[in-house]
Amino acid sequence: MSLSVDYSVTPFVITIPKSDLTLITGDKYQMTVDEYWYLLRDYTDNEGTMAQPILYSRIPATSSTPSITNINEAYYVLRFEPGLYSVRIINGNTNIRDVEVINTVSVHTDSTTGFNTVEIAATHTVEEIATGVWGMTIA
Amino acid sequence: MPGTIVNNMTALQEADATTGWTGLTTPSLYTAFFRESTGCLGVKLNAAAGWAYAAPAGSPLNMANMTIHGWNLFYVGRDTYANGGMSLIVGDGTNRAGFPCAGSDVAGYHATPDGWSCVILSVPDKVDGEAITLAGTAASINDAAVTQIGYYFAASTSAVGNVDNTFWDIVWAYTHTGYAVEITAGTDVSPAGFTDLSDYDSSTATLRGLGVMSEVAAGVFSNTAPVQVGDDGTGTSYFVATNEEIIFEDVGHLNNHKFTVVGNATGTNTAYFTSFTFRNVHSTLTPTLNFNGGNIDVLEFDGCAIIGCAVNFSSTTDATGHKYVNGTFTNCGAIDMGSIADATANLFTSCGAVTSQGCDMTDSSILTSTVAANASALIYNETADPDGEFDGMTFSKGTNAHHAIEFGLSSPLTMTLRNVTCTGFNAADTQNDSTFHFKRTTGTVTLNLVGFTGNYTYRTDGATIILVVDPVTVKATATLKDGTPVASARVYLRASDGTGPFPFEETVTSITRATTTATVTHASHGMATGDKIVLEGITDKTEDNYLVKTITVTGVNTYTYTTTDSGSTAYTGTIKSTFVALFDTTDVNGEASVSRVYSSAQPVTGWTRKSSATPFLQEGVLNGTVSSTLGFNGTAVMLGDE
Repeated sequence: MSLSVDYSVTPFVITIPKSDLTLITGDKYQMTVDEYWYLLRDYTDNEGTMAQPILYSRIPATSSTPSITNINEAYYVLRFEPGLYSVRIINGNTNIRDVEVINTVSVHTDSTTGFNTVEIAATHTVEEIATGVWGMTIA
Repeated sequence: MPGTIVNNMTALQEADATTGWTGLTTPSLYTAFFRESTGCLGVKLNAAAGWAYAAPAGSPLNMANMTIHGWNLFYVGRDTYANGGMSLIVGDGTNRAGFPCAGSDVAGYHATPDGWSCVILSVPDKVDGEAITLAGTAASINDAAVTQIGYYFAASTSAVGNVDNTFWDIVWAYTHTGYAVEITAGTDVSPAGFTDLSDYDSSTATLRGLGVMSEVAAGVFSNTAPVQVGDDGTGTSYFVATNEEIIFEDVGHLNNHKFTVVGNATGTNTAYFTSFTFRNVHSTLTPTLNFNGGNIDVLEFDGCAIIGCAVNFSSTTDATGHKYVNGTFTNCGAIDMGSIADATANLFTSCGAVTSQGCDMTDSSILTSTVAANASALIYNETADPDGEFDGMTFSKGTNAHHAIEFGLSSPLTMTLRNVTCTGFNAADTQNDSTFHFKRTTGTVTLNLVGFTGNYTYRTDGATIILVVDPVTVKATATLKDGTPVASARVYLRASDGTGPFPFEETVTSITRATTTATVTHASHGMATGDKIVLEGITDKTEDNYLVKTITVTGVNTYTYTTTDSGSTAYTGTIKSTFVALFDTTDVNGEASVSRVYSSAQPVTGWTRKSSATPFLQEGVLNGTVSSTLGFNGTAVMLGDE
């Protein structure tokens, strides 16, 4: 099973199958924003979907902002395959919470527009931290 | 003499001495006049017949595939052809006969100013019923072991004075499988030509007087035996013929008349014919012109005429780029244009089928073809679209009910003809004389006709045929920001509003399904078979929504498309249909295109996508209007999506 879209209803419903998620433990799953983006991207240019409105828009990550993948809200809503599990969307921003069809799946996002998650070791200097967070050097 | 003459003929008897000659009366040797070398032989005829023969060189000689040339000079009235006025003798020692070649009513060839003329006899074609039998039975002569050759004469008037009045000279023969003479060598500054051969032939020097070619008027050459031009060995040759004419004579029994241009794999072989005429005056037989002899490097005809000859340009070894332009072909039988690349502005009149192997025949005409019923004047069986090759061509139907153009099994599925005129062909499809004949038995063939005049009708051997008259091209190009073409991008372009000639979100009356065929009832849809649509609003068989479907029109209000054999058989919902102008994948140039007729401007919108294989790209946008005269040419710039 892979990503599917139901075009018989309005707005069209994108369904992300559980099998496309990464199992963390128990009933906890996660998916990076890039994995999410790949799923949407691969779906847009096949013969059966070519005549459909575009699924998403994306803004690539910069040194100071994470990537953003947004569903085309004019036409689509999104849900995860029904079930009793949770999904955490990490490493980027999405508008999933705005287009989500609420069901039994618990969805968490780490949307942090304007901020990156940076690994900071105890030995990092202030300058290294500044570079990692803002992409700039403190004079 | 810039050209070199290679004489392939065999001198059977030079007739320079009486030795070996046997006759009704003993011949005398004359050295003051002759056709060849140093002398000729003569006898006196007094309103009666006479003959003389001798053993041919190489006797017994296998002449089952040979033609004889001989020379006569008369100072007495000749009898008729039927009475053997001028005949050649063939004998095997047991059987011997004279076979008429000329007479008071049939002229010989290559007449010289001093009265000599050449007589010609093809041994395997000699007519036993015409023979004057001298020994045994004419029909029993063993052509494979000839021991006697010579002359038979019949005079119709009395001799004047007690002097010889009938003379003969050298007897030649050549083998049919080869060429009597070859014209080789020549350079660009000193090319070989037909005068090389006529001068050689007209000479009275030893072993000349071949009886093959003579210049009967300035630039007009009479030809009676096969001639080859070029070099079939390893050398270079350069032949030019300008403002001249060759006449293939009406040689009674000759069945092997041919003229050939050859080349070879090592030398550079060139032949130019300009304002040159190849004319057959033979009453029943057709000389063959072979312009396909192994590796001709340059072969060009400009303003030439070929009359009554079989023509063969077909070759797999010749260099490409040969030309036959601004010329005519008249009564020429079937013609395979073969290695000719440029065949523009030619006129084919009363010829057989003309086969194009992809040559440019722009502005040529094929008139009153002689092909059989249900055959075609022009045959095209190449894999490439002939678009541009047949521009401005004109066809007229001959006596038989034939087609103008046949598209063979290898011809492509989409072709375009521009400004073609067809006259006299049937106004109905499926006839022997419908204009086009498609040999494909399956699939769908689209023929675009731009500026076509005549009945655009067709016969098909099974394929579905779509004739599109005066189409315009709808083209989309996908590029990167820097203009680099994007190959393998999908292109989708559809009607964007209802102001054009084609449907935009028009509500259909119904859709029913039987197995895999869905039938759409759509009032005055205005589309044609091969067009594409997208449907939306289907609420039961939803899989058919937003899928681009190719339709087959079954009526002004109906069309069908192929779907899956499952689900609803009477679709529900408020179903809308929209015309799709272009749905394809870009080629290596980043282009996708289709041709179609647009009766008025059609607004369109769409996009290009490429996101399932590298390079991954964002959607590119297409917008605009398909002009009914100019079509559509849009570019979608695609940004990276990596």
